[in-house]
Amino acid sequence: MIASYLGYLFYGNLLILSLTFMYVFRIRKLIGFQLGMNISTLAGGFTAIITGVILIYQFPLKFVIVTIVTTLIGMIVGGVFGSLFDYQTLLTGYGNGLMMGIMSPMIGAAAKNSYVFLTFLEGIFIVSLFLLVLSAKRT
Amino acid sequence: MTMYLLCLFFLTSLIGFLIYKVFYKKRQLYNDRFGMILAMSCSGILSLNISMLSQFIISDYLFFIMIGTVVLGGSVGIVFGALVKYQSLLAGFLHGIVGSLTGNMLGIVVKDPSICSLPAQYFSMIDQNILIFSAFGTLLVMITISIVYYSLRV
Repeated sequence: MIASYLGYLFYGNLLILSLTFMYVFRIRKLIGFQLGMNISTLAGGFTAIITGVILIYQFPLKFVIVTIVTTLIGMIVGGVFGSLFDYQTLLTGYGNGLMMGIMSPMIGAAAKNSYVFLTFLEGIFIVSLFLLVLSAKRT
Repeated sequence: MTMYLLCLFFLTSLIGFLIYKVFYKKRQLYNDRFGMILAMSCSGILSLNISMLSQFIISDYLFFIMIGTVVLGGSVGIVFGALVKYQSLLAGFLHGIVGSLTGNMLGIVVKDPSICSLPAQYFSMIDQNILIFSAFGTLLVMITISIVYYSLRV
């Protein structure tokens, strides 16, 4: 029954992520490349992890397609957050999102549909985005 | 199918050797920050694909392949990191080892789906999954290396 609400969770994550992106886009001139590298690494990696776990819970019979789609999503999110600052931060976010996106459907498949684990990962995602906004504001 | 996997393995090694030659020729041009990012991206993706393909090629001796590919990934990271300055060597070493551990995990899970408790349907599709994943890994290597090569001109 809970499985029918996983799609809304995915859309909610994308909504929070795009709000964070719009906030960072407005103040991107104030952020140096050291913080920019950390921001792109963190956003790409955690988005790839939560997306992979949600997608493998929703479609447990399609492991191959879920792995490919998660890798592409991690690469794109890391690249978009990195392209705010520099070409080299784009490369950093791209590589880290790729590595996390390949790993995350295996973590989700090994967790055997445990919703406590999904709640824990969602909490980590929200706390990491909150820390991102906080560190971008106080720089 | 072993022939196909061996061709992809040699293609990956050739791409890595060529990009190392290009960067060795131009190593005076870029600063240490670009050298660190170069070592991270190149060693991570190359060691991932190499360890995944070698898990597919040799089906026995699982732990010896794991030890060998982790050592190989670390040495690839050291070789790419030692181009510029010795502070980028640490980043290359770390990402080479992480990439080769991820590749080993992916190869073992695709070969034996009962580890991750995937459904029993996958046992009839192992060959097809091996083909798809090896082609996808080689495609990722090509995309990453072309992006890194393009960044020399920016």
